[in-house]
Amino acid sequence: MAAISLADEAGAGPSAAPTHSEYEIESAMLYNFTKFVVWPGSALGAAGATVVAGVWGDDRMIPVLQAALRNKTICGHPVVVRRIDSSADAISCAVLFVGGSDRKEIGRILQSLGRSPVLTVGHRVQFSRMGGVIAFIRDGNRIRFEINVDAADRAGLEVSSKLLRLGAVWREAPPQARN
Amino acid sequence: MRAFRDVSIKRKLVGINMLTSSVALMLACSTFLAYELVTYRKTATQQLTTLAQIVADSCTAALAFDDRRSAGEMLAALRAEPNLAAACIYTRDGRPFASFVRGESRRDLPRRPGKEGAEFKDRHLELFERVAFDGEWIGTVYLKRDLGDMYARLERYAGIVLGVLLFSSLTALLLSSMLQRVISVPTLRLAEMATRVSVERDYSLRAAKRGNDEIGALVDSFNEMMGQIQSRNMDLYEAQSALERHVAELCGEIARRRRAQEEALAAKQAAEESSRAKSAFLAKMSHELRTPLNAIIGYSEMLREDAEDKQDIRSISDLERITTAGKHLKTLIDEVLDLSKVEAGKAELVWEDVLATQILDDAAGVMETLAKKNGNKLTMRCAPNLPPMHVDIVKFRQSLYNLVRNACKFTRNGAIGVSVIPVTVDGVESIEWRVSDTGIGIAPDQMHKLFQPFSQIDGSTTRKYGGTGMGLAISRRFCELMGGSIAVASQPGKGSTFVIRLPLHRHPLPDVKVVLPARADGVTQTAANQLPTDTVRPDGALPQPGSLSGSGRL
Repeated sequence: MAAISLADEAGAGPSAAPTHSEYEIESAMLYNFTKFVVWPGSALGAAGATVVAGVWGDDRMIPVLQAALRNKTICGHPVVVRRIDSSADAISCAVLFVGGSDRKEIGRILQSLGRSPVLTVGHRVQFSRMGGVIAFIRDGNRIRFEINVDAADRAGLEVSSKLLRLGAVWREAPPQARN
Repeated sequence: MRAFRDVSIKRKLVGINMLTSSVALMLACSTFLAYELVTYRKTATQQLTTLAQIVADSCTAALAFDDRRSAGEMLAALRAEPNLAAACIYTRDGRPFASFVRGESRRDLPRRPGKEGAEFKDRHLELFERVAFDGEWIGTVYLKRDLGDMYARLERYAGIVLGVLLFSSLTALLLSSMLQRVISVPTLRLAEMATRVSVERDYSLRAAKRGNDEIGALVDSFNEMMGQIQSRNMDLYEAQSALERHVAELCGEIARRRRAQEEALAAKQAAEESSRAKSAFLAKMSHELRTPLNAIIGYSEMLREDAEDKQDIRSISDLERITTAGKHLKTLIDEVLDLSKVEAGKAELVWEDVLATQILDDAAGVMETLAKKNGNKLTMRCAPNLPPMHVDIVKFRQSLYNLVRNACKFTRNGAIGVSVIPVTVDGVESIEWRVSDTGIGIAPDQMHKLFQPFSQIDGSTTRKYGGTGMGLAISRRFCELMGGSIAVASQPGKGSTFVIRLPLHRHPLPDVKVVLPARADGVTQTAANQLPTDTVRPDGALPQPGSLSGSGRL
C-alpha cells in the first residue's frame, strides 16, 4: 500500500540489479523504518552506546547507507554501518540489510538470528515470507514494502501502526484480519 | 436636552427609568455577547489546534514514506468533522502533498504553507501546524474551519437579546408608568395648588400632605410660606389703608397751605402795588408842589429884599415867615420825594471810594453850625488807618447830617459826639459811625416807631423842635440801600446814640437784595454793576488819615 516512486529514474524497468538510485531510496526508507520501530528493553545497550547497522551480501549498499545515516541516530543511539559476514556478527546488529538473492544463505542468516532483536530488511516478498521483518517490493517504478508482523513479534520489535498502515502486512500463522 | 427639561415630571420619570433599564440591559447583553464571541473563538481555535496536531501526528509516516494516497485517505476521514471546510498537508519544501476540501475548489487552498498559528479570516478560521517527526520538521498541516455555525449562534443570541430587551423594556415601561405616580402625583398636586393660588390670588389655600418624604417637606414649606404671605398680605393691606388715609390728610393739608400761600402772595402783591402807587403818587405830587413853592419862596425873598430897602419892618417879618414856611415846606416835599423814590425803587446810587476822614473834613463845618444853634459842643473822633468806604457820598452824608441834626435838635447845651470805628460783625468787616448826644433821649416804647416816616414822637415835638419827621426814615432807607443798617440805643433824659454800620464792601452786596427783595430791579442792578471797577482798590494806595485821628473841636 505504501509507495515511494523511483523518482525520474526513466526506463528503470523491473530489472534484477538494483540501481544506485534504488539504493538511495532504500537507505532512506530503512532509516525511516527505524523511527517507527521500538526495540525491546536494553537491546540497544546503554544510553549513548553506538548501534550497528549491518549490511550483508551487497557491498554496494554500504557507502549509500553510510551516507544516508551520517549524523543520524536510531532511537537516540549513534549509528555505524558495517559489513556483516558471519551469523555471529549479525546478532550484534540493530538493523541488518540483507542483500543478494541466494535464498539458502538468506534462510540461514534469518535462522541464525532466531529471536534476536534485529530489524531485518531485505528484497522481494520471499524475504518477508522466509522470516525477514520488512521486505522492499518493486511495484512498477515504485518501491513498496511488506511487513512480517510475526517475525517482528519474534524479534521483540514493536512496529508502529502508522508504518503498518503504509505497508503490506504478512502473517505466517493462520491468516487474521488485516488492519 | 433642552426639550427634555420642558417635559412633564411624569414623562421624565418614565423616561429616566426606561433609559436606565435599557442601558443596563444593553450593557449586560453586549457583555454577554462579547464574552460568548471570545469564548467561542477561543474554543474553536483550541479545537482546531488539537485536530491539527492529531492530523500532523497521523501523517508523519505518510510524509516520511512519501505516501500521498495514505495521507489523502487520512484527510478524507476528516469529513466527519462537519465544520471543517478544507485541509491540506504540505511537504517540507512547501509543496502540497495531500488535501481535502468540502464543497469548494482545491484551487482556493493556499499554494504554500503560511506562518504557523491560527488566524480568523472572513468567516473562517485558518490554521497552520508544523509536522515534526523525531525532532525533525517534515511538513505542514493546513486546516480551515467554517465559522458559519458560530455566526448563526451569535445571530440567535442577538435575536434573543433583542427579544429580552424589548420584553424587559415593555415591562419597565409598564412598571415605571405605574410607579411614577408615587412621585409625580404629589408633585403635580402641589404644582396645581400653586397655580390655583397664583390665578385666584387666594392665599388661604393649603396643600394636602401625603407623606413625610421630601415632597411632604416641600408641602409643609409651601403651606408655611402661604401662611406668611397671608399674614404679610393682611399687614400690607392695613398699612396701605393707613397710608391712604395719611396721604388724603396730607393732600388736604397741602391744598390748604397752597391756598394760604396764594392768598398771602396776593395780599403781598396787592400791598406792594398799593405801596408803589402811593410812592408814585407822592413823587408826582411833590414835584407838582415844588414848582409853585419855588415861585412862592423866590417871590417872597424878592419882596422881603424890597421891604428891607423900604424899611417896611412889618412886611419884613411877615415875608420872613412866608419864606421860612416855604423853605420848610420845600424840605418836607424834598424828603417826601426822596422817601417815595426809595419806596418806589427808583433811588439810584453813585458808588465811590472815600476815606472817613475826608467825609468828616467836608461835613465838619455844617455839623459845627448845627451844634452851635443849641449851644452844643461837637466832638469828632476817627480810628486810625481805616480803609476807604465804598458808598454813595451824597446819600451817606445826608444820613449823617440827619443824625447830627436830630442830635442837636433834641439836645441843649450838651455834647454831641461823632466817632468812626472799625468793627467786625459775623465775619463781615464794617465801619461804624456813632452819633451820640446828651439830649432828652427816647422812651423804650417809642423806639420802634422811630424809623417810620412821619413819626416824630408826638405832634408836640414837631411844633417844639421842628423837622419833618422823615429824616430817620430816609436815613435808614439810604443805609440799607448801601448794604448797611442804622440802630439806636437810648436812655430817656440822658441821651441817645445812633449807629450807622456800613460793610467795607470787600465782596458783593447780598444785603441789598435782603433789604429790598421785592424791588430787585434798578437799585440792585446799579449796585452790582458798579462793583467790579470800584471795589478792587488796594488799601495802601490811598492816603492814610492823619489829621483827624485824634479828637478836636472844629
